[in-house]
Amino acid sequence: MAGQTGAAGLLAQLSEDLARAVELAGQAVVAVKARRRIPGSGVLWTPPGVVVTADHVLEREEDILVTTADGRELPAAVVGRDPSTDLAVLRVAANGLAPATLGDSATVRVGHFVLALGRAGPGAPSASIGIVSAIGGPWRSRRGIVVEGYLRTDLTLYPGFSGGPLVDALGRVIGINTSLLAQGQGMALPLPTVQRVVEALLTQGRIRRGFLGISTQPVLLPAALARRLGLTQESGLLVLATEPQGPADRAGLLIGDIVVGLAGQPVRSTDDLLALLGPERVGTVQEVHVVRGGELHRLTVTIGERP
Amino acid sequence: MTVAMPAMQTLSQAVADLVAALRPSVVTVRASGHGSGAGVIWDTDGLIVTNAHVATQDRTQVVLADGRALPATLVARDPARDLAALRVPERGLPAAPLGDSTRLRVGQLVFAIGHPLGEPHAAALGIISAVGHVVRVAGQRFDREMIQADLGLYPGNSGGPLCDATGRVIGINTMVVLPRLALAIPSATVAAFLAPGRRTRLGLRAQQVRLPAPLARHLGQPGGLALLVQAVLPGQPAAAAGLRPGDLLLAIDTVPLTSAEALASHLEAQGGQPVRLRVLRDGRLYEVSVTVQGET
Repeated sequence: MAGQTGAAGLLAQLSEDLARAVELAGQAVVAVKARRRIPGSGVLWTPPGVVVTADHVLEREEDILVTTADGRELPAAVVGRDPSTDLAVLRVAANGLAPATLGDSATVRVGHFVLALGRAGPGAPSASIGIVSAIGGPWRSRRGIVVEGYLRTDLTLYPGFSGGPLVDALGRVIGINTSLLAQGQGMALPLPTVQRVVEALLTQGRIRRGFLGISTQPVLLPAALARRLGLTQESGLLVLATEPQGPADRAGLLIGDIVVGLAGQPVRSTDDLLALLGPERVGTVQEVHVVRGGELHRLTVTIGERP
Repeated sequence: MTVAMPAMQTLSQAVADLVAALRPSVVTVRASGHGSGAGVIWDTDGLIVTNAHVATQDRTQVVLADGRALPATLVARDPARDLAALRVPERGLPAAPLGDSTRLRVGQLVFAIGHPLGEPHAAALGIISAVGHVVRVAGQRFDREMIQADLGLYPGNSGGPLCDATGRVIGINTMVVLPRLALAIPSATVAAFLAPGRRTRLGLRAQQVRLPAPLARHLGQPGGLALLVQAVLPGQPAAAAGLRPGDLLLAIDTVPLTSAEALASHLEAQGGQPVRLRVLRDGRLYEVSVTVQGET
């Protein structure tokens, strides 16, 4: 029964492949002890000595210990934290710490097998399995910040798995798992997001975010008004308050203005505005379009940095 | 339009074949007034293994996969390990093939058959999430070697088999932490439970102790646990190897020793082969080789 043997052999091979993927990727998974309950996880990154973990796993910034696969307990220093993406970067003494092998995010597809790895102590890591359920575009995290992409999977993130890697069938890291961002449901930040945030944290220690100093609320634009002003959008942001001496106040925005555009892009919603206030716009001078008294006004604003 | 997916189709067929092959060895165990769970036909002499929390009475009913009901007598029960052995009056029943639970790896495929939420002989597939000593899970204290699996089990899977990708039983499912964590008793523990008379012994009495945290960290003992030798029986392997009361047993064949259960499991798996013990005595570490004997 050659077919039978082939099928059984393939299943045994799959089992072996999964165990090997865990073993390989597990070498670069660490436990991150920065809170009183069970530790979170982290991943050894480049340059050697850098550890990527989840921000919410760090409940203190002193006496952080990182446990490696071979049982070393290394003191770690916080390099930077970004609560809006729930990522943080630590640094440990780099002796003999090989960074994780990274995968290619461009080849990840819905339906691909993935594993989540976590570590509480030395030896073998823990693992769970699932598939990529969705590869998402920009979305708004709990803290209201737009994240440029996410990986949703159907696997279970066990306690302590946050900060650990999402790996593909070859044991290569394609994301960092966090239980926090999607109201407890498991999500992973994809590699490009992780790399961008890690780079920024390594160079600046924090992620800069643009800031205008206004409270707003989405409102519908009357169709006739929009038509008359040559606007194709249906909504804008009504200014409810401005922070005194803040960027919007200094630019002359008034309560009652409806913001409809910034930096040449339409502003229809809070998401639109947040997407336009990325780190690259901090300190730049931009045009903001508002509807005031039935007319379109153009103001000039210097975008500040979110404190 | 159909798409050819040879690997997926082959794998699907392989899982279906394994489930079909194992199914006749999985039974339903009914203790009157206590609901039911699953059980495994362990040998061809009518021996059935299940959980202690399933076989709560001396007389239970075992229903075979083909629907036949047989009366069962309780022959052994260990609530601490949550294991029970039953005997049915029938020979030649299809016994499940047994595997080696001491060589399990995180990530390898496992599947289970049981009766989740009353659905008879239902199958589930997952991977091994963790192996080794478990202190506590979901508020329940274990202090023993357990298999943790990323597997969708439910009440009704208790007492049923956990198998590897070759269809061999490597554990008995004992507890479910919903939604997706299953705990199983390793088959080596089942073997030790079933054959205490034949259990290999070192000839010592030892008790699990918790080491002071700085010492535990220094030694790298998981959970800070080790075995303290309380007595060494004369003329037995441990005495011959020079072990003494007060010795702290830390590891056996490089595997950390955190419970008497772990020691028994490992010895059972090793048979008559010599084992290496890592011993702490008077603040110094020693490697002691002990040749274990089988007893009948």
